[in-house]
Amino acid sequence: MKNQEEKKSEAKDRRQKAEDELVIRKSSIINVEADNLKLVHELQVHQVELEMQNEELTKAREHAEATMEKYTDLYDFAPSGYLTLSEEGEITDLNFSAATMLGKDRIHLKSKRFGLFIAHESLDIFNEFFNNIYRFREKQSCELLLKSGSNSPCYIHVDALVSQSTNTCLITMIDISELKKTEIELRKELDRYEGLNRYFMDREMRMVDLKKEINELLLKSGCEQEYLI
Amino acid sequence: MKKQDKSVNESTLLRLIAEDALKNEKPALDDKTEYDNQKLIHELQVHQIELEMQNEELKIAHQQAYEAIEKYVELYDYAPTGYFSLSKEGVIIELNLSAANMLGRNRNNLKGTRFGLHISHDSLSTFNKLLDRSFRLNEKESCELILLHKTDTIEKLMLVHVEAQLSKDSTKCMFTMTDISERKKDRNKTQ
Repeated sequence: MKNQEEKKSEAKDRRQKAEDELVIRKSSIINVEADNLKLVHELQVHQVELEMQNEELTKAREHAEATMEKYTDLYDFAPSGYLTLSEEGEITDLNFSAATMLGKDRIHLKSKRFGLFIAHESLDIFNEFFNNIYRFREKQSCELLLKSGSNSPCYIHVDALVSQSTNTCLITMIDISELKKTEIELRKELDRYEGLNRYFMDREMRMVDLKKEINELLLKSGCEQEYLI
Repeated sequence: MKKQDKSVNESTLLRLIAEDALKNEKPALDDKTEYDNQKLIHELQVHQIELEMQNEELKIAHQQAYEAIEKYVELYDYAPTGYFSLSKEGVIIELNLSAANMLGRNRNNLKGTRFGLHISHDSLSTFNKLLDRSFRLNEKESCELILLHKTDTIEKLMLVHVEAQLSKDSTKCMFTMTDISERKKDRNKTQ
């Protein structure tokens, strides 16, 4: 919304421009004095008309501005990261959460390639994902590791689709590092059990071989087999 | 051209109202000198052009605002993530199309309902805690919930990751919802 000062100086400008415009228009008015009364009436009617129209327009504008503010707030302050990529993968728009996740100011991120912020080990996944978005034109999801300046790795879950009106790629992202951490711990635990399991299996197999050997020896020496295998 | 007809009608109406409004004003010319008359006409003409210009500016501003609204409404409605605004009581004040799709319902039927109705019984306390914390602490909060997706023909459960944050004016909770059922399934497979 404009402040009072700006509005005043705008009105002044307008007055000056109107005076200039009138000089031009007057030259086309042939006989001003012919019917002053009628002319003044016409002018006054038109003036009131315009004033009313202006009032309506001002209201419409205020309403539009309020709506715009509502939607920009919804976008800017959404709790999830939200960005728009061009077909070439450049960031054309992003909200504050997205900027925070990428670790830079919003202004410095516009027109940068999104791929620059993805860790080397996730780049192939991202490239395939990005191609699929345009190839299948339906919602795609993936998980990526972001490049991070700090120590802890940042894993994100990404959902994307193509905007039908602008053909840009709309991407939302959430930080799933915590989920990932528990998952990794779980996987470690699983690996440990799997290792143990393999050890016992090997041992079992060796026992079976040993029993076979004993059975054979017993057979050769004319005794009965001792183990059932 | 229907639209043009409409604007012609509107301007005739405006004209009539303007004529009416003028009747109540004092006559302008009667006993004034020719000089005064000329001055008045000049004033009126200048003012008219002023108004026309202002009018034009307003139209442009309105058009610009309208275009920006279109852009942001599209970003809101078609975001790949479900997006709600919730009251302190957990009532849905507003939601985007993706959010309505995730719940499997029509958007208009969802406004004004309690969000808690659309999650599993087990998730209720998690959700209530999240909402309470976000209004109380004004920090970004997140959790996982089990969502009920219900249409006339399908009923299924969906695991969602939710992020919540208080709005700037602290009147509502902005709430995004991402479907992570697929990744959970993958995780279970490895177990």
